[in-house]
Amino acid sequence: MAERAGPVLLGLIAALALGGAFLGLDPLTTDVGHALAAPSPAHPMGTDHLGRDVLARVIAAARLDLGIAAAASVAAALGGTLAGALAGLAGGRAGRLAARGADLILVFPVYLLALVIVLAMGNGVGAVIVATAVVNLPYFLRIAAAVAAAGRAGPRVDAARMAGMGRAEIVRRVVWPDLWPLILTQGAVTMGWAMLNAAGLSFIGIGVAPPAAEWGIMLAEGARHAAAGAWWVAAAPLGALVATAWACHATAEAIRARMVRA
Amino acid sequence: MSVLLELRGVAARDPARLGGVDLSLGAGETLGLAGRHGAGKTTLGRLIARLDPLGAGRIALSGAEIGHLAPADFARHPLRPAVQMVLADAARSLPPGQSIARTLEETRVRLGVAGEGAGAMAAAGFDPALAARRPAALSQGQAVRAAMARALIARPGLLILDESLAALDASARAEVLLALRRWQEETGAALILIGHDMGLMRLACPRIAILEAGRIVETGATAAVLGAPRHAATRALCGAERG
Amino acid sequence: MTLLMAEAVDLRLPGRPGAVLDRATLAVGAGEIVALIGESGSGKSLLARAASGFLPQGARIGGALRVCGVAIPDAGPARGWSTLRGRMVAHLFQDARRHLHPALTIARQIAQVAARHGTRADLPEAAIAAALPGALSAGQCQIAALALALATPARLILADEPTAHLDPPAAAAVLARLRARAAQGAGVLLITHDLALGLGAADRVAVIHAGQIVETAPAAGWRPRHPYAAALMRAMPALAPDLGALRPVPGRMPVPGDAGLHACRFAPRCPRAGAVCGTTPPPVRATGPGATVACHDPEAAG
Repeated sequence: MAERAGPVLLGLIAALALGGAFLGLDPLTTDVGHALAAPSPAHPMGTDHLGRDVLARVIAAARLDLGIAAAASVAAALGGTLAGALAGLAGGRAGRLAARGADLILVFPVYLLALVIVLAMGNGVGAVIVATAVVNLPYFLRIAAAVAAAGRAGPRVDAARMAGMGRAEIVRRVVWPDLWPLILTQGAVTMGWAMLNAAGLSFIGIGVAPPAAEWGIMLAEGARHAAAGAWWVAAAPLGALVATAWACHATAEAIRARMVRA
Repeated sequence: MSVLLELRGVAARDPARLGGVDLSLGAGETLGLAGRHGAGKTTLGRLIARLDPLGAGRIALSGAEIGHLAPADFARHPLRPAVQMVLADAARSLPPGQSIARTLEETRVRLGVAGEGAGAMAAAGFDPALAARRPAALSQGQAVRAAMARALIARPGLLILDESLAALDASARAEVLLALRRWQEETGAALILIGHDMGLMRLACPRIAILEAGRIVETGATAAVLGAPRHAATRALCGAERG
Repeated sequence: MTLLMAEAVDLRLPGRPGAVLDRATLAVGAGEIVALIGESGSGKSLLARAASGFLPQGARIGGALRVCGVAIPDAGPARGWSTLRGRMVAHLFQDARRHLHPALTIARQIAQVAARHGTRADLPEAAIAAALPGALSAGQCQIAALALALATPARLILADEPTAHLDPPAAAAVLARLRARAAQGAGVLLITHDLALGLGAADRVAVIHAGQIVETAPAAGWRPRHPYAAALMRAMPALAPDLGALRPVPGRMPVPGDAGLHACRFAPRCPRAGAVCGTTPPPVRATGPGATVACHDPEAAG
């Protein structure tokens, strides 16, 4: 039961994010007359400094943040797995080169690297997706390279060769079944991190720009007003970020427990 | 007796692990490869089974040269089924996600061998009632026998066992030895037993080769070699047993 | 003094209907090596685990079990296992690598143990001592685990298949170290499935089948009396004159924890079984100094 909490929560958040488009909520219209209103039945999460409904913005932001995270995760997974698998199967120079490349990306401070990419590509959602994908790619590369390298030697491979399996069949029957559960698990973990990466970039003013509803932006705006007592403007996006990040990691754990052989 | 296997100057990629080895084996023969840990017996067995690339030398099976082929290429060679090995880590060599029965059937079909799995299971002493299980549900001894069945289903002319019997109890070991003897008599296949249990060697192998530091240091009829050991390595193996 | 005393010990594990050890009686005294010989699944490892407290939660011990004079009920010794482990009892596990600290070199681990107990420890050869467990082979891990165990002041050594992955010279070295330790007053319980090894290395042997100890005797010149022990002897390559004389033990050993087993668990496969063997537990008869047989057949008791 406890194992399902993560995926269930993530599913709920995603459903809310997608369905939110049809709920008739308005994240953009300002109403400065009712700015910084505390939570009430009319505005369950209060209003922000421009009078916008915080709940509507949180739900709208979910769409954007989950979308960015999903796109970045898929891109990182595809790119990293492919590059890693090829490098691992080839071994030798190619393998070492790929490993060094992955290490290089990991060694860079995350936000510095993302900043460089976004500034090079021009501010915008696309740049954030690319930057986040690049920053998370090495994790997939390492996993794929390690599993693929195991497809070059070891008792399973020896027995498979003696049973007449050629190289392609060994990849399909020995490498892939061990690889995909690990990639799926890492994918869920990366979703959580990608979301935090994207929100973090917006928090420091890079990538997605106001007035878009995005949790990082909302946090940045809300932080200013929290000292004055309007805690809900920051608490709402913070709570959403934490809950979603946790749901992603819990989902990863659930996948791992079910699908990855010890 | 026709010559089944011929090795000339065979060495591993790292000559320290196995230097120049000459060996020949006749059809239906049983040979013991004995030696201390690290002496090169597993290395030699893997080279014969074409699991590792040769550093030097030639290997001929039934007259055909097979030593020059890379292991991945030899997998699709018509002679691949003819030499099979049961690895030291037999339990981990079985595909974990499927039943033993499925693994056996797939192997049989892929190698194009007629017949069905029951004969191979019997020859390996593997209980057919366990065939529906996956490797994780088998005990160590049962897994070893499943791996043997997989090797035997290829109908090899040469079977190599690498310390495979060490994981078995005395009674299970006896069962397997007797089953293997019957299988050899029926099929005329040759057998190489790799190990360091001299009691087993004396019983099961009429001929023995002692390895030490990557070379064969003594070879001949088992009773003679073990009865009157000439090389220090042989003496270490026998003497230590008598404790 | 008797370092390990098991008298009619029953062991029940959670989730298993039957007893995994049934009226097991065994003693290990100071200065001797006792070989406990049985097939895999016979319960031999469990007896050692009962003596060092490594049993699953909910295990229940019946009968009398004493380790170095300390009584061991279900909940463990009155003053806790930490008073016994390392100081009085050392356990060498079959899977040696898993029981070594993965992040410390062998030399460090041995030094720590020696420092804690104030003993002087012998290090294994440099190649093993300087390495981390992950870099060692299974056999090298066994050698390392033995060195660790001998670095403690333990007087009872429970060695579970200590030579399983070793070639004859290395195995002989391990047995020699155990023998030396016994000569200093320790008692060694040598657990193995290899009857030849047990006979060669031990002062006394005990044969266990499906959780029941069927025979104990001095190792020198032993002629098995119990039908199972005799059958084991006939299945051993080292003792058979030729392949044709090898006789596997017929049938399969029952799983000790199963329900509905015969009172003598070897009865279904025993050539000398009678009706009473299914219903009445076999009596334990003395057949000589330090020798016992658990069998209804009067011929077995001699």
